[in-house]
Amino acid sequence: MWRRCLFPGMAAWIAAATPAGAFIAYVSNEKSNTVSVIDTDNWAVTKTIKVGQRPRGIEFTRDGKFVLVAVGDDDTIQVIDAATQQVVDSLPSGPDPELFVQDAAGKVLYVANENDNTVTVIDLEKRVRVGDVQVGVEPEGMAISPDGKILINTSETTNMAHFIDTATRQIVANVLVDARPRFAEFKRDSSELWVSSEIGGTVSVIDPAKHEVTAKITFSIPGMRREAIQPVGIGMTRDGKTAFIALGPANRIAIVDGASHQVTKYLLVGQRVWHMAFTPDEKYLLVTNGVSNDVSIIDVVAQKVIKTIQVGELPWGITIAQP
Amino acid sequence: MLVVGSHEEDKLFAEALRRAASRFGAKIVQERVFEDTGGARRTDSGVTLIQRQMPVFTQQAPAYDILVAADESEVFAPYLPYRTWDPRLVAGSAGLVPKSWDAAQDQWGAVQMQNRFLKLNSRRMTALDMQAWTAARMIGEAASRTNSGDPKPALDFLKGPDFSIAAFKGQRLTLRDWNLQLRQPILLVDGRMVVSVSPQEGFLHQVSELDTLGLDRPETKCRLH
Repeated sequence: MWRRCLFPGMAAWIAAATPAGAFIAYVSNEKSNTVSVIDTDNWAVTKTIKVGQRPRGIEFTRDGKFVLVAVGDDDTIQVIDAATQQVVDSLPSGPDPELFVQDAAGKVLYVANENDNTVTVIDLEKRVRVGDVQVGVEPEGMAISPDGKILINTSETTNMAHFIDTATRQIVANVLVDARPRFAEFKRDSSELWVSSEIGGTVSVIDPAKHEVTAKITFSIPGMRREAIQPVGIGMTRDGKTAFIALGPANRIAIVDGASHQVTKYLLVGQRVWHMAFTPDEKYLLVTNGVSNDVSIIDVVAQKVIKTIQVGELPWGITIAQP
Repeated sequence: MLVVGSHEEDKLFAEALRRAASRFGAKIVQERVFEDTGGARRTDSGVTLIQRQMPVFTQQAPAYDILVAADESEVFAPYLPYRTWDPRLVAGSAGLVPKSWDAAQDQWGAVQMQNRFLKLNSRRMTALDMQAWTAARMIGEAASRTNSGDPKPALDFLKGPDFSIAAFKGQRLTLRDWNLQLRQPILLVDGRMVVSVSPQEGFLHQVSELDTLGLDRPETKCRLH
């Protein structure tokens, strides 16, 4: 079945034709310094790839040929060949890269370097560093506007979402959000930018044109202390109607209505749920549970957890090849 | 067993330990006082003498599970572990030590903070450093949230219900409105590692589990003016 990975486009075609879906998910295990490969056909780990130290942010390249993984303690981003499932190269990030985002064409990579308050700009084809942007303290969350004009970086200790013009690489606006912003996600129609605040316990909904917080999503779980509710990862369906928000040590995923910004349901998953990825058909959502060392599979339509898969130690990020 | 130093600060720490013992259901079976006779005559003569001092000091104790030392001046407590007459655990001013911060703390993003501090100061970060950082950060937080450099709105914000701060402790920290003490988790450290973080799981509270530590609202005699 690895042969399918040689032709990612074909793999997606096969997947689209079969209801069960056959996608490949890559999970970064922060503490065991590995990446687990999950086959979504039978929900099983098929390979564990040794990578550098402290792997966190992980993404497929737009062409589906490579998986990029930020190995913070080695101060680089490693390149995994999706066909051979081996580390083949590394990219010149700044110190302690954590999360990154690509432009729509997959040519430019923007990396948040947690340790030196910069966002590094990397040319993905030449694999060279082409620039830096100074941002706030402990940059982490990264998002790019659907039109590619604005790059968002959130800084964990400055508590801001920085709006960076991708053409000039200058900060054009800073929006103050609640404490420890971790993750940023645009609605596909650009109408809203969502930023999760881990310690503040909220998700700020920002008007990207006006640079203003227009709403705050709050969470309340009976019997759960307020401090344990720590939103981190955000996953939104393409139509922008439903969002899934990982609540960290609250061990739950909140399902939020995209229009009303109200929580409609909480799903119990593993311990310290962190990041997530949809299968391309949006039938399933895979979420990483850092403390229980597993990945929960959520049936998106039924809004139910259907399975848990054991992976490495402290699973952090997850990516699935898009067709 | 509780061993208390002879200094004023030691007595205050001992009082806090007695209160905590009664609150959490621990029984102090005996108390002893370690007199600081000055010049460290009893402890300053090297391993050979200390090796004799501590077993002698702790012998003939009633049955106990853990020896807790109140020695804020660091006169004797560091010599207690491994030298008690009965082989027992040591906590308090030595052994398992409760602290607001420790250089070994690396959870919840703290490793970035520790690295920045080490790079800046060429030494590891102490609890006092963290308290100073948190205090400065609180002022910065108040200034950025109120979008003002004036002390009045900043102070109102700090005392208000919306104030909270992230300080690498895994949860937001807030101020107790009855005495403006910072509500924060306490690290239990052994000198090399963070052994555990209190409040311990299972100790519940109707407002905040952090209020299981220290003086809670119904117990306090503080009145803010």
